[in-house]
Amino acid sequence: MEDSAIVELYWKRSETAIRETETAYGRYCTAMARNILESEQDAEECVSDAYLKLWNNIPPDRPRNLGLYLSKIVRNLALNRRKAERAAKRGGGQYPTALEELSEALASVERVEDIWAAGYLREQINRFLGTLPKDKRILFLMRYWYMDSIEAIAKAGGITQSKVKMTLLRLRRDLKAFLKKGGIEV
Amino acid sequence: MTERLITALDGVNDAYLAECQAAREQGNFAFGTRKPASHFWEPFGYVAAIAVFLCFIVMLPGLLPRQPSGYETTETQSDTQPETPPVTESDTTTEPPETTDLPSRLSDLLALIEADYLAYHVEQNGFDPTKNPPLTVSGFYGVFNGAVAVMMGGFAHADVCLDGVVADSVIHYGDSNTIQVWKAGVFYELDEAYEGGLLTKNDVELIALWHNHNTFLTKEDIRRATALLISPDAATRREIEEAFARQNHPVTWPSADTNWYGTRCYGQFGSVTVLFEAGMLTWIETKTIAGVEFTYSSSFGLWGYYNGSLYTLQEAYDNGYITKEQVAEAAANHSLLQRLIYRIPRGMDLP
Repeated sequence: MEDSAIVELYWKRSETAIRETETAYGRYCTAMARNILESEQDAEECVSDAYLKLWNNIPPDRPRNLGLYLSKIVRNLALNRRKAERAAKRGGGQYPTALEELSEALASVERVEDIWAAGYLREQINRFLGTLPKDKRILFLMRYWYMDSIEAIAKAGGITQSKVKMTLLRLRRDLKAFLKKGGIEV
Repeated sequence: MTERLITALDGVNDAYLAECQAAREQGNFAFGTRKPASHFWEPFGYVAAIAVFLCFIVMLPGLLPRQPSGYETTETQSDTQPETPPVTESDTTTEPPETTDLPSRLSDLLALIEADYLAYHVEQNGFDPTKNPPLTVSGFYGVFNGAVAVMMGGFAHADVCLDGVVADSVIHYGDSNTIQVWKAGVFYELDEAYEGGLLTKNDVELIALWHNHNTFLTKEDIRRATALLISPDAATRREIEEAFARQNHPVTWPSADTNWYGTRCYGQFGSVTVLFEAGMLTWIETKTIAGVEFTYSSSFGLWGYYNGSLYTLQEAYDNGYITKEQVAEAAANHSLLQRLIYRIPRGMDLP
């Protein structure tokens, strides 16, 4: 079923909306949540929470790309859950690894927090992504937005894991240089 | 903080996420400039491809050039023996790799690396070459299968030392500058180059050894080595040739354009010209003269040409024609040329 048709079901408050969402994006969202959370059960709960949020948001929202809209919800819920889990020293998955990798890009906690609060960091990241060729942008987002594993990215890109790691390393360094140029302390 | 960065990615432009989402849904995306998936042998099937490969392997020994004379022995080799000795990892330290797609002159290669480095920093960091010192190669570690290990000057922070372990080798840095590996216009950190397969573990070990012992080459080293290879002057060369001829010993002088394996001159000290020539016996030989060691990867001879006659360097020292300090200087030049020759592909000209 097309995204627009599923969204229409939400607007009509039809209970089949969630079933159709599950059919269209269930596995996709669960895989994404699993990348961030270690537990299969947590991932499924996270996706269920996302469906509930979707139900509450539509209407009034009318997303044109339901998959993207849903994946943002899943990601946010998973990250929040991950933060809570981390306090209890649970979990692993791709999130801590990706986090560790990105830590090379920025160093100063306080300054970055201030800048982030102003939305400046988001703007700079988008500008940085805009400077990248499409393939590298996809690779970066697969790793740091979708939290895909190195192995999965290598498979999707038809390249070696070493190549993925090297490209990510260079992208992190370029991001660091870009942020520095934009006045963000590194 | 990094968590903030991950969270900040929430604000990524939807268009970028949509293209990424599409790539993930398709399960593949075209990365880089990969060749098409099809191969020339596909119309013939993989069996034919394997047959072609096996034919190539069988024909390979006949296609390869023979190794230089340093590997040959006077014994007759049977048909079952390989023409060349098996190459171990350590052997690669004595046999420079063949030139790949690099400039034919070392000076051109270094100039190209400097130009690429400058272009990168102009583009990435807004580096202004008119307001800053030039970005030059400050250390040259060698060419490894087309990848060139260098230290670039210009951005060092003295208060930051980035010691690291790459391929089990510890690299000690005195400041924030690190060894860069250039290949085809792209710079890589040493660990990147190793992980990406540009360098072998043995290459990294050599680089670490040279770096940690300050035996990498500077531009001045390269200039001095080049000067040695084209010395002595023509008149002195003729005199030396005549002296060798009286011993039925032909002389082939090295030059800065590919032939570095002749009779080398290690300098003229007063009236004595110190000469070196590699021998044929393949063992590592060390000679100690005036307490100074000369080591080479095969047998070798050392001479002092003095007043129309040839002496062994030991005799020249014993006769008082050359001092201990001058012998030490000759040994330093021997070391310099060895370092240079190990690090440059065969076929590349010196400046």
